[in-house]
Amino acid sequence: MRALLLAGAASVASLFAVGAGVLRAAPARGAVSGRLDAPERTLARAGNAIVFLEPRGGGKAGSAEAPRKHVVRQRDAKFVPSFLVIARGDTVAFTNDEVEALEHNVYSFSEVKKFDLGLFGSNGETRDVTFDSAAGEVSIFCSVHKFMEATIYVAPTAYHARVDAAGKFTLSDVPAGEWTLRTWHSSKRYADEVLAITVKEDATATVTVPFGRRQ
Amino acid sequence: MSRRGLYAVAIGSAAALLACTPARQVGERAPGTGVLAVTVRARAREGVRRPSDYDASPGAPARLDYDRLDGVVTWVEPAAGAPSAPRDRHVLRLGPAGFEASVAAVASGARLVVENASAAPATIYAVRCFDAGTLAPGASVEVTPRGAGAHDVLVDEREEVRATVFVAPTAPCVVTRTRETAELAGLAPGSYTVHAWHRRLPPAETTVRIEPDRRTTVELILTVNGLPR
Repeated sequence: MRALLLAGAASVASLFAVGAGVLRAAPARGAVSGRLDAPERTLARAGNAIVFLEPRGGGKAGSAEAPRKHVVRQRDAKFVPSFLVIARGDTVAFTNDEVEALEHNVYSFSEVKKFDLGLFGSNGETRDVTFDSAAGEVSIFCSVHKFMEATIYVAPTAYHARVDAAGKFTLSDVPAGEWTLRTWHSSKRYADEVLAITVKEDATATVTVPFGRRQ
Repeated sequence: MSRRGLYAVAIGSAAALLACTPARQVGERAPGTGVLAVTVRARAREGVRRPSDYDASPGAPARLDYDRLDGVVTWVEPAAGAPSAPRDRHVLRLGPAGFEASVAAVASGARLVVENASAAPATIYAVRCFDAGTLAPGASVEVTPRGAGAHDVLVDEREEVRATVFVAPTAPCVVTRTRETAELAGLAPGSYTVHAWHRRLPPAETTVRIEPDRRTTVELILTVNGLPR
């Protein structure tokens, strides 16, 4: 019964957000489905490719979604995963998951986020970083081990998706409105693309993004 | 003095000589100008043990050697209103095994000679920086890279081959490794900011005054110690 009540409360909360004592309807939502228009070889050479949305026309940066927590482990002197996409405001837990005693020092001096977690040891010791100040690419290093590198891409909103091997992506539960869709990929082999899109309530916007230009 | 002691002194002297010997020389000496000798060092985070304190057995994870980091870019920025040094041409050469240097530096507005010294055609470019087009074996082309900062240089035909071109905002600029000294000659007397960059460490800078007909030395330290904790 208690679980049912909680589920009911959660549903009501998803329909209405309480602000300044006034009940407001949750925003109408739609979806975006698309693909990067490029030959298979181009897609294969793009590395980790993502798409993300940001509000168009000076809309509020960030998103209405609650911040999420992610985990990046250090195992066998590697970051796992070595690439992660998160939303601005999300937190990443860096966990030393080495089986044998091996200390790591996780740091970044990227403009998006500068931090130094100091040396910490194995047995699952964890230190958190919240990426709340800006969006963009963050390079992560260990100051002890030569090949320990990871990339975190901080998207401006929670509306981001990985592009699959066929170039396809889906963004669901997106508030209806005017958005800018951007691409980013880790290989830096191609220019990243920008596209204006409109998301309508209960509809899926279908987009084709030209991809593969060198300049 | 024991033989072992003599060896230690000899090795120490050689190391000191190596550290002080200019390995890179940029610019021309001219009467009335000064020379800046820059050495960039890198330092591990405070509290991190020396590499020799770690397990060096086969299979142990490779550690950073702060005394031998390649690809350090140093450039000199004149004080506002002061004349900038001439912009040298720099070379980025693709050989059979890949780029001959992992990092090339060029001042903004300067020419970069891109050369294909490999045995196969190569399309060499850096997105939003330069496009050298497809070069036949032995061919070269001059480009003017744009966009200050680091850019990945790629080869269309060889996916695994990469380098970095660093476009320095001002001239002169030079690439060294840590503990190596670069001599930048022909600098007009005046105040300068000296910058150092490495892809793995926060940048460093310091100010220096160049006097006519004198050699000025400066040392920069790259370290994570200043990052927020």
